[in-house]
Amino acid sequence: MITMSDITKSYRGRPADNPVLSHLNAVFDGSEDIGILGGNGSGKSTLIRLLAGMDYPDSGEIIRSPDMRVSYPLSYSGFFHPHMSGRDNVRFIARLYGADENECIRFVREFAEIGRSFDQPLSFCSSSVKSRIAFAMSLAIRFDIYLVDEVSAVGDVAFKRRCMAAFAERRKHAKIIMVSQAVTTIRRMCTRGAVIVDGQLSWHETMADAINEFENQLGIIHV
Amino acid sequence: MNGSVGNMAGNGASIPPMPTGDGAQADNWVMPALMRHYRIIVALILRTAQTRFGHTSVGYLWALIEPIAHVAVMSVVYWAINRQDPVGGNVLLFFVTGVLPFFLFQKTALHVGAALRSNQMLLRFPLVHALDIVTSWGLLEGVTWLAVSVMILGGMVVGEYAPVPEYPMECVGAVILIFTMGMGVGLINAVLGKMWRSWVMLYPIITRPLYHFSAIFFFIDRVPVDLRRWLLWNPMLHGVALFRAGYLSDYDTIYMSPLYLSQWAIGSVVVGLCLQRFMRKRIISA
Repeated sequence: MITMSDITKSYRGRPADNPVLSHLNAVFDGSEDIGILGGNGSGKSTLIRLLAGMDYPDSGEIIRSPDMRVSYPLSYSGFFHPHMSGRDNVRFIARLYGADENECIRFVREFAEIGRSFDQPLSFCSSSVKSRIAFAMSLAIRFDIYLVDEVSAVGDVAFKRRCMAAFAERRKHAKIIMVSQAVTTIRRMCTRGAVIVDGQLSWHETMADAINEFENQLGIIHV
Repeated sequence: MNGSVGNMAGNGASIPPMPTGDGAQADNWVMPALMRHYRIIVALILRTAQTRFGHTSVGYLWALIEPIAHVAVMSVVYWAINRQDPVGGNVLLFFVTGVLPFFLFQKTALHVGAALRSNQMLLRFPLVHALDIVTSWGLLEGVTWLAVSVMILGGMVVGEYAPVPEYPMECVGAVILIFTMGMGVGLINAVLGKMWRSWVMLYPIITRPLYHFSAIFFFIDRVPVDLRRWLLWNPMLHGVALFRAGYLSDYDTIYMSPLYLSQWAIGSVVVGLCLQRFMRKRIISA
């Protein structure tokens, strides 16, 4: 269970009376796949970062019950050190989580299919190699909830299919919290939805209702 | 041929077996939490040791060369101006036992002070606490210093340029206190450096005189009383004195106060921890 109570978050350069999220309340109990819709700059990524514990709110409280393991955002690569090889980066993150290093390395190497690039410093690797490693890494460890900030598809069609297949495999025993603007993806993956309106979450019983509100909201903005 | 290619494309969605290891939980019980931080600190030390000097390991050689160079320069100066030995007959040992403890403090304070600035991304890692990063950088610096010191002093003992330490436990005590103070000041530096960029430039300028005022190249008993009164405020002078007195009883001095050094060590750690706690939101998002 993740409980967010009275969360307010603003960023520097943004006036404090115009926060990204303001007095937001939410409970994620991990029983459903949650999809959260919002336009550009509505606070989607901020919400995911707060849920992951990558940032603190200005005020309010986020409580994670210890029986639920929450991932970092899917395919996030900011934790990688550019001077280390993909293998060493994977080893480091596996160590942090106390997972089996060799098993994680084996999985990422076989899944990413990048050959010798796996043993070269990441600063020498192409961005597609990096994102392949990042995606594989974020699925190498088993979590109860995977946080997803827009599914950014990487690589060719075959690799995208592998990504979706691996993610589906993980989702058999886990739930997701996804923020996105991509209505089609979110409709396919989530059962319950919310829309970010004025820095707060507007909940809906079904994903379809949430998508309706989101599309209405977009319509109003465009008129 | 065609068949196999088609087959591979068809298996595009086949994936290697998924690892079964669980992600760590934010466990609040004392022992699991301590074990988790131990594991994280070890992982950070290994990562830092690997990436500290980029792709080369010449940096570690530099850690050995730097104190030797300082001692060599001062010895040459002493020899050139034909001055008397500060204490006893062994100029070299006097300088080495002064430079080494001073480097322990200064290097730890500087290196730990850079830990948070250099690891902005890791600070965002949900599992990693700012203190894990600070601790791992401090420990790596401490271990490097220990290896360098054992090599230099060990080499001198083997080459019969120096005796073995007379009171090794006193040296160990001095090392622990100096290292603690280095960690404390380093933690303060790390937090201030994130709050206020100029601090990164100011700290080395402000503490530059410490090198000359820590009785590395002179003996505190021979200093005029008016000057000595001021010099004794410097905690590193007591650190150097304590390390030396442990190594050779000839270097013992009545002005040395292990209590004063301890107060600085504990005080700086407490202030650093409070600062870190107070500023933790700004540290993560600065």
